[in-house]
Amino acid sequence: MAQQLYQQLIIDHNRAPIGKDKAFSFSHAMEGENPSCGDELNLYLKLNQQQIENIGFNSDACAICTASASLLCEQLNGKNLEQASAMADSLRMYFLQVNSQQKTAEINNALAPLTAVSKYPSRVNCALLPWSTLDQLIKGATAR
Amino acid sequence: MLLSCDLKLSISGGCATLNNSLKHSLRENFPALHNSATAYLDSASTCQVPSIVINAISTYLATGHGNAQRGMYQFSENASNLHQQCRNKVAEFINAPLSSDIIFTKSTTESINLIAHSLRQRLTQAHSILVTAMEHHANLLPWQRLCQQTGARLNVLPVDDSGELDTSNLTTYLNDNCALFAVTHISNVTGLVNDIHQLCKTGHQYNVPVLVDGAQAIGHRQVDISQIDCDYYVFSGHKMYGPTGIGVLYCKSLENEPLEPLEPLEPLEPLLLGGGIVNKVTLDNYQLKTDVEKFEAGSANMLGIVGLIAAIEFIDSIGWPVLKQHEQEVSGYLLCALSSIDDITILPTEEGSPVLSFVHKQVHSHDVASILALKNIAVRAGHHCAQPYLKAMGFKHSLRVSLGCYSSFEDIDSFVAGLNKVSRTFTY
Repeated sequence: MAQQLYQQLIIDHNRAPIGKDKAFSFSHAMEGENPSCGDELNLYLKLNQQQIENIGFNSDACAICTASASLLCEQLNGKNLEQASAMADSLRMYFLQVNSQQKTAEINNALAPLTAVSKYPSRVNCALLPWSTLDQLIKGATAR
Repeated sequence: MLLSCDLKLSISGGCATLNNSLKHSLRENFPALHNSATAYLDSASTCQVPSIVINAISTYLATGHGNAQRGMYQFSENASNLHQQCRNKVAEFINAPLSSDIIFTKSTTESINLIAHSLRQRLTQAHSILVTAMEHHANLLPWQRLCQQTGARLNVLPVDDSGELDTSNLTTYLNDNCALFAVTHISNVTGLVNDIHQLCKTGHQYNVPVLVDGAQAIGHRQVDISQIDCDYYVFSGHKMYGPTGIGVLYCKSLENEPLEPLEPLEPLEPLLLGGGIVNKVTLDNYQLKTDVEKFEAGSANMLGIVGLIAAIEFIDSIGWPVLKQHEQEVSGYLLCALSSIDDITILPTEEGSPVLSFVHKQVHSHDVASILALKNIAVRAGHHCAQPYLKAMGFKHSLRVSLGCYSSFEDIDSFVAGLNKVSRTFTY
């Protein structure tokens, strides 16, 4: 697993983020903010029942956050909310457990470029911001 | 190799630049810097610690640690003497009239919170508190909460486009039954210096006590409380080459004529209650001491006390003229180097400032700082606990480079080379 923070996939996703500023008719939106650095992100979903039919975001954020949001959009389009939640949980658990001897969390290979962030604790919240914003959105969507 | 740059510095007295051996000897005092390849440019956050401070703490622990003012044996008596010696040293260091004006806290933040807490019982909806848009969150949030708790108005002195205080409505706010004016001496974002003496003078014309946040001033210039004439001055030991965990709250003496509507020291309530602050305790009540010790509940932070004494001795041994001249030379070199880079926007600053902020036009501040960190260059990125100030200047985040007496031209060269690496990493 590459441990370089700014590996090529991160640079590529930051340069051409999937879902960023995408125009579509959304059914749900959520705003997220990283208090430590001021990253701001708005996540938009078009849901049909529990299925994600379209997904996009806009942001004023760092490369790690932007690349993470891009990966989120790439991976979750067409998934249902349960699958989306599971992927968010796995990433969060990975960061929580990465320094633990009892590491059990595994994450989708597609998110592997983000795993290097675990070596830089000050950047973990940047990588998690899109996913924690997704969590909030799902909570709101399923509470209705 | 040093950058070629014509340094145009305005150093008072037209002093010649410090020679290289003196610069190196300043840096030699800091073992962390010659044991590491790090270009440390985050002294506004916390300073590196000189050998004299490390040795003083180590020696104290090795020769007998005691609880100050608790025992009659040698270790405790020695700690008590050091505790009082530190109060004397701090008073002398900032030219406070009396050592009994000095209260030890754990930090600048705690010092400010102590004053805010003390005012809670006496503030009403009829009062106001005045702060500025330039403040660190430590000098903003306690006043926001105080006003939320009491119903008092929170007035905010704005900043102009150049990041400087706009004082055009100062007297209006001071005239608003203002209970306290809280203002920073030097901004932790831009390094801009406020005319504290004049602000205090104006505050006092309206009988308003003034609290000055000196966190960014105390390690960079001679602070003369008698000249500033503020009512409260707060700072931390770790911003002046001492250890973390020791802070200072200067309170104007009881002997001075109290200001209305609130008086400086006597009515202040301690933030913490516990051992060492009472004259008498019964099962249902207590009687506090009347001197500064009533604010220092619990065992004293002796490592902080010993370290703070040594930090003052370190600064005294070098002297402010040398310290300031060195910082101004490196600051001028830094400003010159940054001015030649196209990809950045420099936030408002002033010549000779040990603090300078900027944003990269293409790359987020956090990414710049991360890439620099990979090259062993330590700078700060983010909002620097001053979100309203950055917002007022049109920014959400910035990079901050801040200097100490150990900062070198070579540090700046490494930093500039690192910045070029940032541009290459994100060149599309």
